[in-house]
Amino acid sequence: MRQFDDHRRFSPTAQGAVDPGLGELPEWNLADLYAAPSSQALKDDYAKAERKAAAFAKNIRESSLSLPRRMAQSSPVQLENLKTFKT
Amino acid sequence: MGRIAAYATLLYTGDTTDPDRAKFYGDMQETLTRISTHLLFFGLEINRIDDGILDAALAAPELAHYRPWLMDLRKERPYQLDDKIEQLFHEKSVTGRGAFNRLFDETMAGLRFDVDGEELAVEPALNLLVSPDAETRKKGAKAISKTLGENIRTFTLITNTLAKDKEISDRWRGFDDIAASRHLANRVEPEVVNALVASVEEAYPRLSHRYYAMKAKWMGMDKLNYWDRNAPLPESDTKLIAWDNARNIVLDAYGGFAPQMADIARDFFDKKWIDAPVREGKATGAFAHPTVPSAHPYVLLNYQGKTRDVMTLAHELGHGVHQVLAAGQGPLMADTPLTLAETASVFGEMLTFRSLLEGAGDVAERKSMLAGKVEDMLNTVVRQIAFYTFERKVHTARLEGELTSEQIGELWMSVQAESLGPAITFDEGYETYWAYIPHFVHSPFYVYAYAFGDCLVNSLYAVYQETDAGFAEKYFEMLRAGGSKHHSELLAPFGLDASDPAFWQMGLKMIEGMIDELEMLDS
Repeated sequence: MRQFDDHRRFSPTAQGAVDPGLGELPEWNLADLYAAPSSQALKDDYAKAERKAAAFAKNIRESSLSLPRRMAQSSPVQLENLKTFKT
Repeated sequence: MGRIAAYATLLYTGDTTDPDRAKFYGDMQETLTRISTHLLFFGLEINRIDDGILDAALAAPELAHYRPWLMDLRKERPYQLDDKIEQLFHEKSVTGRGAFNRLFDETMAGLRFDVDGEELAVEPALNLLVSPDAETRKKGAKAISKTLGENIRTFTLITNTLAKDKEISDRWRGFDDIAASRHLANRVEPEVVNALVASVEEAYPRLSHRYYAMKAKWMGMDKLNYWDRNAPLPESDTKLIAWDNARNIVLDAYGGFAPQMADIARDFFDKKWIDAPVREGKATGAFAHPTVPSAHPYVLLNYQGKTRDVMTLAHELGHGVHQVLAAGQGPLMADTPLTLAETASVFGEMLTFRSLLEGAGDVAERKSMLAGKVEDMLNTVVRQIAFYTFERKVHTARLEGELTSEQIGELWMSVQAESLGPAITFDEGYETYWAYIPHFVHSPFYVYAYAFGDCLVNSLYAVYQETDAGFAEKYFEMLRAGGSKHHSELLAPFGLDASDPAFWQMGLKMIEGMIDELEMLDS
């Protein structure tokens, strides 16, 4: 992020045709993340995130009342797994 | 969740005007916000645990790995308030700080700047200041000061209100300095920032004052008008660099530093991790997105073949290399703290710049490249430190009561004269130019971070130039640490210490050296 005053890195996007002298410019392949917005894998991950986040909260709430130590011990691992969908 | 968020974000930035992508992106934000409310309490709860209990828990091997993350979280603890107050602050921020931020954004977006009868929005108007034509720059500058001047009461109200709002929460939370909450968020100690600011301010005469005097001479003027400061230099290059050539320039520069660095960067080209062309609807600018450690980063560019675009490629690939190396830290600790967030990117850019400079054909080309680099650095280092000084003056003065537009304008002008020097004339409406800078509104005191990143890399590069062997391995080790270490631990292997003014002076010396060379080429 840079600011307006020093925006020369972010030169305004040129209008019109791309200069042919640049050769072929690559476009990224996002399929390494998901095949498509409608893909089954993505729907499954949404559902998994929902389920795991709720379970995480419930687990902490219930154990933290009596055992803050247990919460501190296991929770970062669970939170991290949740962020990446490791099971 | 990170994977979905990354996917939706990247898809959307590829074409922000496609309604399907926009909807997918919007729905994603909504869903993930809802899901993550389950997790929000976790940090607060951890910070309610007593030190003794947490220390004992940290002895367990499975938790020891997360020590850096937990310790980092703990730093917020002394400033955390009771649940009820936290909740009230949070809810009230919508109608307080949040509302004034929005007022700024909406006012700014609605402003029109009249240039020869044409009504321009703020960004195209500001773009006129980098036009090669002096008359166009002047017209742009006049239009900007006219419109800002007509709306100055609103910006003054916003500034006064936000400074007061910040003072109220700082007081409740127990921050002892106007910038202390920012330093905490940046995980940097006040004495480190003070060392940086003092070193840069002390160097103003040898950096900006000297350079702009030289630029005035190049442009055939006694003094530059403020609208000439960022004017393109008369000899700026116009040749286009084809994509394959750009790729080779950056990979060669990286490989010259260490083959491993080029190997990591090569994957970005070979595996389609880069989106390079300018397209209708695509996000502007450039970024590297780390996605999640279990996948790989992506880079977005708007490549148009200028030398600057090659530098941007080198910059973003530097981030990309850093993200690949830090992925081993896992999602909670891979993110680099602000203090080193720009290290790999600026370092990668520096390697590429040096390599291009070595290959410069003649004196004119070398001069133009050096001048371009110096201007970038002055905008990043001198300018941002001056902005920080301005913010400190405004917030300090606000403690005594409301400020008038004239008072804010006077503070602004004094800081400009001091930092940019006698070779630039500031008059005819420049006193309102503080009003459009969004950082003052959205992230008070953030601006020094830009100077921090650039200066740090300059110092690091100076060490690299003086080291015979072993630098690259230490450098990679530093990048691999991601967010798991404090800057003092990361810099120690290089014999560097950010709280020592000598550290910053070493980096500033490098900019001075470039200006020395420009003076020499000039005579």
